[in-house]
Amino acid sequence: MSKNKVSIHNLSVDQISNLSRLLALALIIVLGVIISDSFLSVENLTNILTNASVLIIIGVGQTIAIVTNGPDLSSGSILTICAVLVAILMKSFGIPYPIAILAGLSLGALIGVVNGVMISKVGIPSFVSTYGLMWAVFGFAYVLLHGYVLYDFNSSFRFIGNGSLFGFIPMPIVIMALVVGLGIFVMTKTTYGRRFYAVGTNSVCAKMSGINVDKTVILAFVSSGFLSALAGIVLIARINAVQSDIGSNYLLSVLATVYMGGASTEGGEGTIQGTIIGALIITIVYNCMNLLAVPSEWREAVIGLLIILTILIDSFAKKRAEKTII
Amino acid sequence: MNDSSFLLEMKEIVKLFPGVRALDGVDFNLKSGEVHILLGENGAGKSTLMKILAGAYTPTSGEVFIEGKQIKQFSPIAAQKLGIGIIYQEFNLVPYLSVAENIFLDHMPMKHGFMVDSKKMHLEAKKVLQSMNMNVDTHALASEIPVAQQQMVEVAKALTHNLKVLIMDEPTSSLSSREIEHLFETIRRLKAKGIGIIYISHRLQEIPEIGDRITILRDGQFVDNRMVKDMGTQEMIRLMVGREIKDLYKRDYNPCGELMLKVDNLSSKKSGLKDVSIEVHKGEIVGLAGLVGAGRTELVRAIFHVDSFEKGQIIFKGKKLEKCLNPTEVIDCGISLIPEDRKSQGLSLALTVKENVVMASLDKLYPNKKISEEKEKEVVSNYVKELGISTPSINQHVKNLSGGNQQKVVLAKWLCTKADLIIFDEPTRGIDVGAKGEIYSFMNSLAANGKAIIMISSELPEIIGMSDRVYVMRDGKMINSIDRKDATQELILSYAMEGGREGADNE
Amino acid sequence: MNKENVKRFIKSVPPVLWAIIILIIVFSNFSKNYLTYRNLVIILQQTSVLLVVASAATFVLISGGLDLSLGGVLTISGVAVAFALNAGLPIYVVFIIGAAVGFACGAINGTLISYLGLAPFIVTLGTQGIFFGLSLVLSKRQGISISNETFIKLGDLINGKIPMAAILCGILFLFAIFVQNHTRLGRYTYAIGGNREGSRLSGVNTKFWHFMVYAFAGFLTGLAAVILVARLEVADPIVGSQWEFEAIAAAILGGTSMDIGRGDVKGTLIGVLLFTIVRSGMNVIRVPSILQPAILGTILVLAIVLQVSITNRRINHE
Repeated sequence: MSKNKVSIHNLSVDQISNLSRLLALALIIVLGVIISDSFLSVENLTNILTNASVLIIIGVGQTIAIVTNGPDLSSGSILTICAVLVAILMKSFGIPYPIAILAGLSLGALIGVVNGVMISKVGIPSFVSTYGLMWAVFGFAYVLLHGYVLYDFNSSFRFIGNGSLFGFIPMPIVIMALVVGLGIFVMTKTTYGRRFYAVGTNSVCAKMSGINVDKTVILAFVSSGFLSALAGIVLIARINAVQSDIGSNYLLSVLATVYMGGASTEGGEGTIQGTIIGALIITIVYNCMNLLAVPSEWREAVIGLLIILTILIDSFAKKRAEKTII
Repeated sequence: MNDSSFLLEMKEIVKLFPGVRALDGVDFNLKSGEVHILLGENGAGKSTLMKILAGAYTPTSGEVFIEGKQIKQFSPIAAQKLGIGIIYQEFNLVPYLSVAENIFLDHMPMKHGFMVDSKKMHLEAKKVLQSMNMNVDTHALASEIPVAQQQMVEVAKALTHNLKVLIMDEPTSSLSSREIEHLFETIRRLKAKGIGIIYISHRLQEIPEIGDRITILRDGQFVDNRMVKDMGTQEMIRLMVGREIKDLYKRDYNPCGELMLKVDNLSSKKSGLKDVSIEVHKGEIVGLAGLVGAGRTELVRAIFHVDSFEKGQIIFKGKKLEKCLNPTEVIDCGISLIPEDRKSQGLSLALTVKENVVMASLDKLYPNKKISEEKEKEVVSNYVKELGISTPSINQHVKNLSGGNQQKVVLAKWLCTKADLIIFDEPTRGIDVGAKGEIYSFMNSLAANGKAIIMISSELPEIIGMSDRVYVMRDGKMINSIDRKDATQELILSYAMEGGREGADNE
Repeated sequence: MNKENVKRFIKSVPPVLWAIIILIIVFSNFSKNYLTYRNLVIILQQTSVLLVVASAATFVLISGGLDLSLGGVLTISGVAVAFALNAGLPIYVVFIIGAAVGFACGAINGTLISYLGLAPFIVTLGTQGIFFGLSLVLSKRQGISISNETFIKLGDLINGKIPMAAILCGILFLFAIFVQNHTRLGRYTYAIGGNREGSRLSGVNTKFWHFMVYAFAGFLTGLAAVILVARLEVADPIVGSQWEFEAIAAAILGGTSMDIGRGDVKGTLIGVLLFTIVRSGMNVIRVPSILQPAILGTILVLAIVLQVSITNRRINHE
């Protein structure tokens, strides 16, 4: 029956999409191996995964936002200001680090509320409102730090970034794994995840099915803000320093990560698993660039190009899929 | 072979859509300088026929001749070139461009090669408008002028493309009587120029005033073609509906229980509802009839609290519903709404069957927020079996299902909420006969189990076949309620159309 | 002057203009130098380039899209201009190069968005990275100084009296208004934003004109870059960032809406004036420079929120 044919084909389209991403990842790994003999060493791979952890943590939050409504362009700035807050509380006010961390995470969630309200209640599209908020938040981060660089944190705090569990698993990877595990659980096995996807695929239908669309959107951006803050905390624990522009690289790379992971510019599509692949691809690309001694000026151009290629390929794949199904 | 005395000839037009035979060998012709009325119920095929003429659709078979030449290519731009203009109910103007720019949108006069010759454009625009005896400010933005003038701008726009055939779809639906007079004058001027006009309208009283000939369609088929002066209103209605009611509707009519829903004097400025009242009892199926735009969907959306309303009250199961409720709380009370447009409002096409079915019952099914896969599988599979949804698995994406099965998924979603009042808005639109029968028998068993049902439908046989009582709406007002034993197609339609009968109070 | 007329007058003036007038009064109270010719002229010089970029952004917004790459276009055009100058090319050629680079960037955007149908915000974010990144590579992260005296005069405050940059940008601004009102590009921008499908069905080649909107925005920005480099005497990659957001915010404050094909380049002038006055005023009232980005950013966001809420409320009442 033609219906069965269509459905098998449909499953294939999804699978093809995931497979092509894994293929891209494999290609990049092959490139890495070509460039450096020690690419596949445990040390290098652990290094890559540790570097990717921050990106993955912030990427999980971004995935939720993009699935539900649209990108959170302010996540890099939230990362920055929460990291700055935590650092200042610890260093200038001597506040114990657990409380400082809590404050930082709360700030991230709070900014997420502001984002969510602007988008759902005021009605400003996410890419305008989060973009604008980004500049304001960066400005405030700059105020807080007064242009200084803070460094040399409490060693217990630094354990989050430098320490390892059982002696060999770096803490960032542990935290990343927890975040990913929780994220996948929420998105696939809870009613919250269902609501995110429902609002993202068809918000009119969601509303008429009794889902509180505004609340869901706000929750999505709170998640993104919270996880951006967490990513910032892990980051400064690792590099043991903070300055007011540490988050500025993350805007493009986070978006590239999530869109490479299969998210759609129209919302409703995207998985955390895909985001992980995207983050790995980007981290390895950066890694290769370092190995090849490509000057850091090329980073932005490369990421920009990757983003464009990703959405181009995605668009072609979708159009072909639609043609064959009909 | 074609008769060249006709300006336009459409012969044996057949149009098939997946699962639906929208036009079944329809003939239509138009003389130069005449106003030809096209009459028929919703779904009779009028707009499909006109969309073919306007180039939006290609006929599955059949031929179209304009001025004796056959149309080989069906596209909007080709139609425009041939002198065919169509004015839809929702106008096609650019809101923030001026009237003159809208008229000359695709052929603005230029000077110096790259500059728009504004002076010439406004001059020509004024000329065209004056030839229609219209005095519209050509500098005004399209969004600033009243609807009646926007319509004139659309006509002017068509005129600048060497207009030969003008199609007007419900042109008077948002006009005052003075504006209608003016429109008719304009139409007479166009006639004098030799332009042929196809006029679609449900307002029976207008037809003798402006029409020369009339063609009636029914269920995609041609019924009759006569001079307007040879046909009375009652006969028009009879020809529109004259069909046998097939024995598709299985209803066991049981006595109804207590009052479940009582709506008193509901009014909403935004939705155009004026003092609407309706009652539904346990075990009852109440049909809601009326033309498109009568306010039926608006009424049920107000009951479901998707749209707000200013005056009136809604009492459900003895309790008054607050005005500021939202769909979430209304669903909790036990009301559900199956919307008109299942693809854009009823379902999330990108999601799977199981995700759609549980969407409105998430908190009910999973009180501790965690989704139990087994419970979900059980619940959803039950509905799939009960409703006979044909799908390879509950993980199938809904967009791959047929229309009938999609509608069943929507129904499953609302049955899952264990609602007591279920509102169906056009439940069988675009669904094949087999699935229709199944949906009717579900509705029957729901009613037999004590649920209350409101059914909006534009298919008169369906309303008559399934309802205990029929409410008829027109222009945002509740005209009358008819008992099952008195309900006939002619009676319902005569209440629904202007120029037909008036409501109970006015007789 | 009866009450009705006064009320109607008050309603017709956009709220943003009131804010500007109030701010001017406040700032001139703080400093006697605020309203002097010299001060005003300096302010004009500093913001005139933003006006041109914001005009470009306005076009894109009216067409229903968004261009987040204008900062990158500005930067890379500036780099190209600096290279051309330092290579000794005549000044008129330098102008052509700036315009051409800008046009090329805009054409890339236009192709991806109009012909390939990709979403504007993500495309322009990506191209922003590419253009800006390329500027970093070409300039090796350092500013490229120029020394052509004649050229520098184009951006200078001649004799402390004639604001050349402002005048040139003013000409570009007027050019943008001309294009908006008197050419098909300008008129079709409204058609694409207000009713694209309907315009297409009426015979307008919307794919082409939609492409041209982005190409033109790039073209304008490229010319603005020439004047910016003249004024700053250097092509500095740092300069590009944040421009596009201020440009978009200025357009929104000037009354341009993003989704119904409504707006006007003239209104953008008011938006740019507001930022200019706020920026310049902050120094006057002694706001510490550390706080300025934060305050400016917050004001931008609040202004957009206000503007969108008011517009939505007005739409709901109609």
